[in-house]
Amino acid sequence: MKVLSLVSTALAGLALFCTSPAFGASCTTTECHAPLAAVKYPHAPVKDGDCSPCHAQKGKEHPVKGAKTFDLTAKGADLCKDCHDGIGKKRLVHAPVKEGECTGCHKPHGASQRFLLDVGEDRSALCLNCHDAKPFKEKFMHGPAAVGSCGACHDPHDAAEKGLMKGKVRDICLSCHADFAKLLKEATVVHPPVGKDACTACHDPHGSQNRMFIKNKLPDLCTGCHKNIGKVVASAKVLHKPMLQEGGCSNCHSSHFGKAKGMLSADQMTVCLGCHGTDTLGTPPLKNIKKQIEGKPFLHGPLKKGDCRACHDPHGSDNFRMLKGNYPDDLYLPYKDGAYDACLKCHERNLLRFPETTIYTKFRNGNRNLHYVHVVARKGRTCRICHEAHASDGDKLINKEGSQFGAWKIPLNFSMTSTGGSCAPGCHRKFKYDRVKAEVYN
Amino acid sequence: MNGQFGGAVTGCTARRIKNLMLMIALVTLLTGCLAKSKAHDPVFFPPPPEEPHIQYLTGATSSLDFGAKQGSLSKLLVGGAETVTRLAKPYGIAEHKGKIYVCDTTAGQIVVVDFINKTMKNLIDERGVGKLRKPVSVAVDDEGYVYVADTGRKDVAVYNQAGKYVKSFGSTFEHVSMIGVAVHGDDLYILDNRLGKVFVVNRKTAEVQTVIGDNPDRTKNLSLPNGLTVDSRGMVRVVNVGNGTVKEYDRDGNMLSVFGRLGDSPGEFTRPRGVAVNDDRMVYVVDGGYQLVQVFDEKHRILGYFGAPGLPVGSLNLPAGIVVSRENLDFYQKFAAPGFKLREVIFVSNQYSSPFNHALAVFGLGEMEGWEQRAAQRAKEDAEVLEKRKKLLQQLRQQPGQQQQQQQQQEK
Repeated sequence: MKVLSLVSTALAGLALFCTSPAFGASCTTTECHAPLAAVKYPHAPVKDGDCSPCHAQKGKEHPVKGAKTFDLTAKGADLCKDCHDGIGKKRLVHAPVKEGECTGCHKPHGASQRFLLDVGEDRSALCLNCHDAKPFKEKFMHGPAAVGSCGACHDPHDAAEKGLMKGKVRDICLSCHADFAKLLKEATVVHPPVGKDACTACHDPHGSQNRMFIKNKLPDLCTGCHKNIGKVVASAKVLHKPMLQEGGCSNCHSSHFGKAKGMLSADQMTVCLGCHGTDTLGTPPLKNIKKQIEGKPFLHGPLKKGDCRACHDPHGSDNFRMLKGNYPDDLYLPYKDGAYDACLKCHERNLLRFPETTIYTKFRNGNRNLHYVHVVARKGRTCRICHEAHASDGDKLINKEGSQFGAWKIPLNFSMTSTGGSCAPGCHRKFKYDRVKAEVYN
Repeated sequence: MNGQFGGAVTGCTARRIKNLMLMIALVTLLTGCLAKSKAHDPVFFPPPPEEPHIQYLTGATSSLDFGAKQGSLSKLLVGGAETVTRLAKPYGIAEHKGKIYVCDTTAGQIVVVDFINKTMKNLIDERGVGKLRKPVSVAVDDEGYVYVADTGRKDVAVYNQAGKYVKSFGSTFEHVSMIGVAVHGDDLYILDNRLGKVFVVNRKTAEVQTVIGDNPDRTKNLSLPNGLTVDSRGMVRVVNVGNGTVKEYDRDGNMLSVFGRLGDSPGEFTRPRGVAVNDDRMVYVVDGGYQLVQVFDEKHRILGYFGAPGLPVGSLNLPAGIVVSRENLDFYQKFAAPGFKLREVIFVSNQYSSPFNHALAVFGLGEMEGWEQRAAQRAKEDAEVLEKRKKLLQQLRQQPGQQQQQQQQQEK
């Protein structure tokens, strides 16, 4: 009895051994189909030697020369979905997945790389089989696109977001650019599109001909939205040169976020003086404004507030020195309505309109308007002959040592009294003036 | 005969007494009714569906409008002292520290109306040299002195805050009919409508500083001037009945701007009277002919009008003087419709009052909540319409060219 029992157990074991999948491994273990399993990453059934989930024998004979004796158990995606269920069910489906062309990308028996692919992390060779290769050959490339890590951003099968993106574009970008996300959160001034829109509003996520793979060159990218600035760039007679130089708008503004209004890297005046604080800017060099201001007790009103924009349009204008209104670029110009708007939009508009006045200026002899005498004349003297535009060491923006008159610093020797004053410039002999008791000139 | 005569006399007297009693009862009833202010729906200018910018707020004709307990008639009937002050025929008005100073031409009085403290009092109680005869224009300086142009007295009389006569202007220059007065700093501006001049007089020395209207270029002078005001910068605006213009001058007499003409279109005048300028340089011009006030922006573009006659409330009845103020806005806000935020109050005097309008009407300049968004939306819609029209026009212009090309191709 004991012997019988051992024999029956041995027979049962043999039967199990003969009917197990390992017994079918003869397909890949024999010489015929051995190469199918001889890859680094075989498909799991192949690895297990179980061909039956995909292949079904048609007849008893195999192999038959010149004839197929096995059929696939299903066609297209139906063959794969029994095991790989859940693919292709999201809102947007990659075209090959939709069409059941799994083998368009995957090797069904096995491949040299993971996921039954013949490509590794650099999938450009695979993806660019179908997709246009042009965006991936640009001068400036986004890192993942440059190394073919398409899967870093895209889901190759299906996705809820346009472009088979793995999530919202902004979220995907910030998931890698975590340092940027942190700074963005802490920023005081944020460029509105950066705060809420997709990064792809400005950047091409694959690559472009522009630095930081922005979609268009500067300033065109910015003026696409900032149309008023675009008009200035297109039509201004005097343009702020950095706008057209490399870096464009970002020479002054931060593109994403900043510390100061207008997304400037610092307050307005600091940014301006960053360039206009040298003696070598331009040919011939522009004046060193920093030097003009430094140590001067009297600053022009807007400069006291650090507001260069009060007088200058930082992008450009049709006027001399990008001023916001007309101002003569020559030393002499007789006053006419509108010719001195840059100054008179803040200073008394009627300053130069009437030869006699009791209200529009204190620079008068009796009621005789001495500003009128100087400017509304055949040889109209522009403001700069007596006044500094930015700062001075004397009151009324009049420098004690005088104003630049070509090579000569012309002295003014201006002094004031409670009811008038006097002037002994390099232009004429000393004259006094008095508002209450008019001086008589011989 | 006697009896007949006597009987007739007795019957007539009885009828008269009966009629008198009836009249008294009716008048008492009416007086009681009128003394109570009536609730009314908000009156906006422009009216709905336009976006409102001015609302009629309230008004006053007598101290009864502020809730005085006893009317003059009832006092007459039941006894007691007369305490009611009325505006009989108001003309020029001024504002100082929230109080409105009103010239009452027939009463020969300056009535001070204080909406905040709900009082209306006569300022002046002078019998002799300080008595007013026909005050037509009033101004108050920073120190509280009240300047009154009086065509009956033919001078500008000055009173202190207590209403005591101080002095008079007019002896230092030739004048005929001084009908307007305004003050700015030390400068007193006195308008003579017959001479067509404004005398700029130092209010302390009475010395004439300048004369406006003496320009050799007559187009820069005045033409039957009828009212003046001085703004916060010291610029004078004078309305001219002769040519329907509002002219702006500085204290030196230089004409700075001019706008308006005679006519019946918006922005034109027939009998311009009072004028006021606010801190934003908006100009309000009262027109006695059209009985309304037209409002202009700082560039003299017409913004709208208010107070047209024929309204149940908020209409004007021979309006004359106007003054604007930004004092006590919180107080006047109580009269505004929910959501209508005031930024300025406008006081207008009506020469005649009626159950439909007060002698002194108060309007508010402001905006209804959310108007900026609505205005932006409207501007956007307008821009879209314009863009569509532009495209349509371009298409229409291109079509003839395209048709010609098509014809040429067909011919080939």
